[in-house]
Amino acid sequence: MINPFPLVWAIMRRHAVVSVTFVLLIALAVGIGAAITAQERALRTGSARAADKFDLIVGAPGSQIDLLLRVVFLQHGAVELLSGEAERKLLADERAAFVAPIGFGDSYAGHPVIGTIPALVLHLSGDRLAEGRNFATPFEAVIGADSPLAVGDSFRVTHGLEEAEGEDAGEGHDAHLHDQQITVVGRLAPTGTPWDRALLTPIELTWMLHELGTGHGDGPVTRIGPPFDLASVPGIPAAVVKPATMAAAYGLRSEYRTTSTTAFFPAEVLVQLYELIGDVRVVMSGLALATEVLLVASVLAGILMLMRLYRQRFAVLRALGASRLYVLAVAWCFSFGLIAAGSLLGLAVAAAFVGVVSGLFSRASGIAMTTTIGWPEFWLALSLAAVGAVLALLPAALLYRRPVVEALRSA
Amino acid sequence: MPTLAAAGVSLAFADSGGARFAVLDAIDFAPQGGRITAVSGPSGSGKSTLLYVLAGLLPPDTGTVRCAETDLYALSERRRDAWRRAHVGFIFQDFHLIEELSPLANATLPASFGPAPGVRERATRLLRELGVPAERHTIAQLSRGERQRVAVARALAFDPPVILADEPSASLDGAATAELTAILAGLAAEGRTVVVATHDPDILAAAHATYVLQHGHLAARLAGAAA
Repeated sequence: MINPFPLVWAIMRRHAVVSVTFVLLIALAVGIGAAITAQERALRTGSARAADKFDLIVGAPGSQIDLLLRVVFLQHGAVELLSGEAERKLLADERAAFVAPIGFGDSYAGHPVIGTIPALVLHLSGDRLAEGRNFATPFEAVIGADSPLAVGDSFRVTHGLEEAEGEDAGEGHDAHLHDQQITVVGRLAPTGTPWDRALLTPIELTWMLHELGTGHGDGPVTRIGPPFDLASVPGIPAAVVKPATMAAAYGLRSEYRTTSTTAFFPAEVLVQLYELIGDVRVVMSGLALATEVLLVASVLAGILMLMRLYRQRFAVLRALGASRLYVLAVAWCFSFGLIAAGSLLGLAVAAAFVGVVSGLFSRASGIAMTTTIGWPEFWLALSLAAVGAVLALLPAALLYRRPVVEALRSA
Repeated sequence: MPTLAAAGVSLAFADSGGARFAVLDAIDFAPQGGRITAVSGPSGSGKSTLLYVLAGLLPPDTGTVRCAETDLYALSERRRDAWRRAHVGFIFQDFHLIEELSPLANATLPASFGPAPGVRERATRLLRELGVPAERHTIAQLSRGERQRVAVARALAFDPPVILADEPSASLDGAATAELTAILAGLAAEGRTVVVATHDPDILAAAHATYVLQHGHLAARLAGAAA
């Protein structure tokens, strides 16, 4: 039984710098390739989870992707208001378990302040708040799980986007502070969505701060949430609808897909996005794989040159009784050892890379991203190792075929 | 000990222009066991080539090489490798040791070529007998004479009956050459067939017979001082 490993290990030690460089290059290439697929999967999973609680979104006609980004992912941007007639019809629709108007445009210390109704707050929190209670008056708020405030704190809402507490208004130079103090009475359970960073207030507060009324007719507001006074309810940019039944969900979506409204399940819009991302991923993964194969070929060319330095030593070993198979085994094990080590290390590089990127992305977007190196990445590394195993035969075969005496004579 | 014998061995190489020139020409060579047989001659006379042919590394164009009843070049290459592993120990001018391995690991390297019962014990004993300091961990820590002794231990890993040495003293000083000559004489005294391609007067003086090659021809066969 031949045992090439003592010599393989000796060659690796003799050329430690070159060997480590080869391994790192391969690891980097594998890491980038694997990170692309892992990151895309994490983004897909995280965004799908974020949209999970938003059954049906109804808004003014326009881009569904824009509306999805505003409502689910709380991205800043202008949104058209629903027409009054459509809004009144929607708020009165009995096929919905609840219709939650969404009010945007305010903030506190860079955190979005969202106007809505208690039913959506409970729904987002899994029917149970992590702390405190739901808001019951216009001047109370429930904060997201990642909000810097605590239950019992008070804050004042800024109209527009304020970058951070104590700083000047950033993006919205027309931002201004409302006078009204709002008290935090509850905290949402973590949702893994940008809503974890938000402060939720009654929609009535949003309307009142913008001097649009209360949604409950004239006079002081005595209660919050539906039913609203349909004759005086102010305009809303969008509503999250919880259909009462599955059939109602499709019925509502169909009914509000008109020239004056748009309605969609977030999942269907995400699928469009995923298809787009998927195409890009395929292209990028293909490019990454091609780069990896080219890199492995380059490394093997380097190994071939290295092995040429060992041509004479191999000839000596042959003179000492080593078979051609032994020489082939040494050259192949050396090449494949580097490729396999690089591929394995590449998975660790990918895990680290994806962890860092996901962390940054989560902080920026609020979307919780679970990043794992899974079978697709293992398969990628395994595929490269398999390709490497075949390509590693090339330098091995060249040494295998080299006449012994010719190499001995070059001594 | 099996006897090694070349009969009517001829070999020609092609030069860069394609013209063939004789490297060995009808060589009959029969070194005897228990003796040092020297092969001498100017550079390019075919000394090393003859050793390669004897070792089963280079098939001749004509002629045979036999070890006892075995016709080497009637064997497949794989069988010749196995035969060489069991029957031939090679010693080179520049030792060709693996510098990253310890002396012991170098001496036992042939054990990684195939089944090798007892090789490690034998190599350990040989290194001790040959006076290679056990405390040296790398080849770089050895003198040239010590390196050549490690190469000798490696050549003896499988306890071969035939030792082929190609200019083994060319890179050694006088003292180291004297040590090597004594070692070769000791190997011959154990009954091994020792064939040495050399110009070295010390080794030639220790040889029992010297074959002189010139341009691939056997120009003379001289009885050595040791005969």
